Amino acid sequence: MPSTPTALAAADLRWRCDSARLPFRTTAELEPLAHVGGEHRWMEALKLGTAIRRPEYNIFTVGNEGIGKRYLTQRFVEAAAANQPPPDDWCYVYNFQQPHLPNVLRLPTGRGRAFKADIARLVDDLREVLTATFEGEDYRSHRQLIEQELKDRQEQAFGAIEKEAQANSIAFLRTPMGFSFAPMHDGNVMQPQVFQALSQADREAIEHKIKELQDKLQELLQQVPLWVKQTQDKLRELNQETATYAVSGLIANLEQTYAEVAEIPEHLQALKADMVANAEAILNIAAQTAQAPVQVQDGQNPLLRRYGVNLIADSADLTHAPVVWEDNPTHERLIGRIEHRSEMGSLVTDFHLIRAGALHRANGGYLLIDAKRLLSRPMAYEALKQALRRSTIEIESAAQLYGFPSTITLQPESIPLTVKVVLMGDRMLHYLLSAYDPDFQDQFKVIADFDEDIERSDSALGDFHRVIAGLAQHAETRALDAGGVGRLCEYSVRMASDSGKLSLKMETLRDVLIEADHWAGEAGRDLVTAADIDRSLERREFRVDRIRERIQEEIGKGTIRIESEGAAAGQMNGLVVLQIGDFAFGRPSRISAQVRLGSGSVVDIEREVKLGGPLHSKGVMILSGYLGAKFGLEAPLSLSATLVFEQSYGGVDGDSASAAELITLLSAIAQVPLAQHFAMTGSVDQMGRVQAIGGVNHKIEGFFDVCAARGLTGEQGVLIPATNKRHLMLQDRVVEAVAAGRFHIHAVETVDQAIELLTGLPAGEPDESGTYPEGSFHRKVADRLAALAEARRKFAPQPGQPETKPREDE
Amino acid sequence: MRTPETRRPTRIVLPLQCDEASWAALEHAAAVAKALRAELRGTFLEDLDVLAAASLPITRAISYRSGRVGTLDPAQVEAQFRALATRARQRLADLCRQHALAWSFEVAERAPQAATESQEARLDLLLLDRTLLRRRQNAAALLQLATRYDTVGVGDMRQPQPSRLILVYSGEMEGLRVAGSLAETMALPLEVLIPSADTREAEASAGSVREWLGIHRIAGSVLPVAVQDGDREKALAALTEGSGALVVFDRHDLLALLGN
Repeated sequence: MPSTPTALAAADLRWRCDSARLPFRTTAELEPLAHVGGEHRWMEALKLGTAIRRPEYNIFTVGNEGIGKRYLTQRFVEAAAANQPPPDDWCYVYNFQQPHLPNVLRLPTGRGRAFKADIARLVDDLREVLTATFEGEDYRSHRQLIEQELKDRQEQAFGAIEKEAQANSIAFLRTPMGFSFAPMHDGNVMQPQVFQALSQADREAIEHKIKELQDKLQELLQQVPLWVKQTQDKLRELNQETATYAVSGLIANLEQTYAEVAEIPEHLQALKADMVANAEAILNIAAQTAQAPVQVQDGQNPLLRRYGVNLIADSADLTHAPVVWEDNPTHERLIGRIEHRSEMGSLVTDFHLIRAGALHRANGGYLLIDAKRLLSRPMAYEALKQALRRSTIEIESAAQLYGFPSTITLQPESIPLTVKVVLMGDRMLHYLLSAYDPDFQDQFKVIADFDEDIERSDSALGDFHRVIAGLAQHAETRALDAGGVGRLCEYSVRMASDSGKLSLKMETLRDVLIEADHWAGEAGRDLVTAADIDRSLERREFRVDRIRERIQEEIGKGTIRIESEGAAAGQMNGLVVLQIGDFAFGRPSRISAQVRLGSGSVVDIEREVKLGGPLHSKGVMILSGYLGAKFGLEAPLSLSATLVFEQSYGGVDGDSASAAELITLLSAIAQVPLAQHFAMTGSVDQMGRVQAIGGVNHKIEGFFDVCAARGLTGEQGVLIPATNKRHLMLQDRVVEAVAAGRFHIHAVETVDQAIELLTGLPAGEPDESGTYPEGSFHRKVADRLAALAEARRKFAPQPGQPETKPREDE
Repeated sequence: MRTPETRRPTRIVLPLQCDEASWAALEHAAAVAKALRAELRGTFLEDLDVLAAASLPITRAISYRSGRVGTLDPAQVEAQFRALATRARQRLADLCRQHALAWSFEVAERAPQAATESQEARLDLLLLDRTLLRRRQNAAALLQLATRYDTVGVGDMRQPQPSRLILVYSGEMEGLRVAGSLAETMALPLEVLIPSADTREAEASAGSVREWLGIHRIAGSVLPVAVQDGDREKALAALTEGSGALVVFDRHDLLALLGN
């Protein structure tokens, strides 16, 4: 005989937090805490991940949404970063040898900003100093001297020719395009008729002399370009000397200031050489912009603009290693980008338009990214892995990565990368990355696994109160009184679906708290109380309760047929849980079974019409196994049975109704009515033991609400697996009805215990011959099966006749 | 301040050729014209000697840039002069537009009427670049041009504008009047040089000039300069060598100095 289960007491149905015994009055008295203490896997993982500074030891934090994973990770990482020094500054500067490959400069923390300002000032001063130097008397005198030297040389040379011409009565003339020689007569150029009147010999003498002078002039003119070039060389030398003097004076200070910064002196040398080489062009700019000074950084003048500094990573305001959360981890926002501006219809760029990405900002510290967002942004994950693999930041556009032709762009020098990347994702994402991306495990060697719940020990509860205090502080709500804290703890236990655990779904708790704070405000309270938490939970449920309410309504009207009184054979109330978003609720569902002559098969109608999932089918097959083992040892089962969830039009999965389905089938075979004021949940094994299921609280409440709507009779109740007792965290309305004896929860261990409750008959144990006692439930089942076997025998084929199989529907 | 009893130049006349010296002189003349609120007139000089030389069968053109010897064709030379004149005109127009100056332009040998008209209608000041004047070929043309104008200024046209005003005075009151008016308008001190072979006569002239300056309250100084006959060119060179100085001559004084 199975022991008859007793109904559970009200005290067994939920855990209550005795707020009167809490050692504080309000959360204002508590020191806020970020998380419940103790040993956590994730803490050890984060400690390890932040301590090992090797490039491949990046971290992947795993856990469901809403458990405060990001908050806790960020807090932890920030604490680690607080003990690490701020990183160096990074600047991009012009590459004077290869302008399309901008150089990167590394400066000690905080000196990048000063360097940029120093260079800007240098450029401003440069124009003034060059202008003053080149307009100075010293330079002008030197220049005039050189120019005069050329003039004198020319005048002397031409003067000698002119003098020689004059001595021979020949005029040296300047024509619009050059020179000419002409004979003179009476102080003027000889008229043609006078010339013609000369003797042949005179004319030839003149012509000869003119030819001689022309040859000399030609020879002289060939010298002129050389003289001009010599003069230009001298002027260039003078300019260079003057500019070097002016620029050196300006840069000397900077060279001294940045002497110990590795790459700066070299850059300053290149800067100086370029400024000297372009001194005249700079002077022209200065002259053109005398009224409106050039803004070095605004792109107005390419020459001066290239002397500027693009400070791409500035740590001046940091006191420790940076912690950067990149909310939108696109390819460009991660590794930076090169912007372009439109000039005369073309897109152009320079090193000033290189923009930093999250990796630049986080370099030397930590970068936190949501893994799902990272994977959903094209090329972002690949770019991140590439940067981590190479330990450098190389700015490349997506077009460059794909090899598409793009506008003229730059290839900035890469920046060394020392960053710890922390990806955050759920378990499925972690499993998929582990399975399908070989790089993942190479680069993310530390997995920080966040539990969704913890054991509800006294110590954990003490910490949890402080965590709630922290939530209130962080969310800037009113403080909670002890009652409010107690209610939130109870809600956390209910979310854990285990009275022995506390759920860590901090985001949900935070939302409940924020809404409770609102209701406290409405009620004019200074503290958030238990009533406010209750109201918050009630209103949250109300807002998403439409479907549940409509189902209850249809059950009340009889449209959905659920019996809660009387008895019927081959029919009983199963329980299902419906999940709509975050909201779950239970409802009863009528299970029915029909039996007829057949070959021992049980047909799962849900599976046949493809509404049943694999776990449900498995449950039905298990009950077939139970049936065969219990009643088919002596003779074949000669029945055919069908099982169905009545009025179920959506999919059914899970095996939580298999115990109820088995009892319904047995009832149909034995034609023994089952009490309809019970509903049952629980899976069954092939030996008839009832096993734990999920969603027990929602299921009980679903049937309770149907019964309560019709009026509790005092007989109604729910049969649950005994192993689910620890999961009970029922709502007060159910607990109160049980306490009043108007509703019952029975925890059963075996199918036989349930049969006795549902039929009022003893289940019956077989004797040594395998016969069940007269009047027992199983005897009735066995008798009916024997009758079916006998009936089937009539259809057995006679010797010499072909076998006639009974018609089967399945 | 009293206005000297004379007319202020209403037109600044500048001989132009197409070279850097002319462009510098143009800037200088524009500054003077602006100060006097006078019209700026560009006079492009065609060199008659070159035109005459082009008609000779034995003359050749030697390119300044390449030294190449080519033919010197009169038609080609005329065309080149026309092109240069157009260029000079454009340059003058641009500059005057920039300074909001009234302007006019003539080609010296092609517009003799304009000069005649100007003598009757207004007082012109002809500005001569002393560097141009030094060259014999130019000097002849400029001298010829100077005969059309009562007042002639000789200066260093490479300077942006004159910093001193010098009058070469040989007894022509008109020259003194114009120079006085210029000094007053341009706020320049007036230095009056009196070239003379006779020291006593020069001192007498100096006294009357000082008196004139005093009456008209014009800041300045008077200095007699002894000039020997036959030494005029040297004297002219000495007179025109002051940096930044604009030396003003009455036409007759200038011609006398140049021996015409």
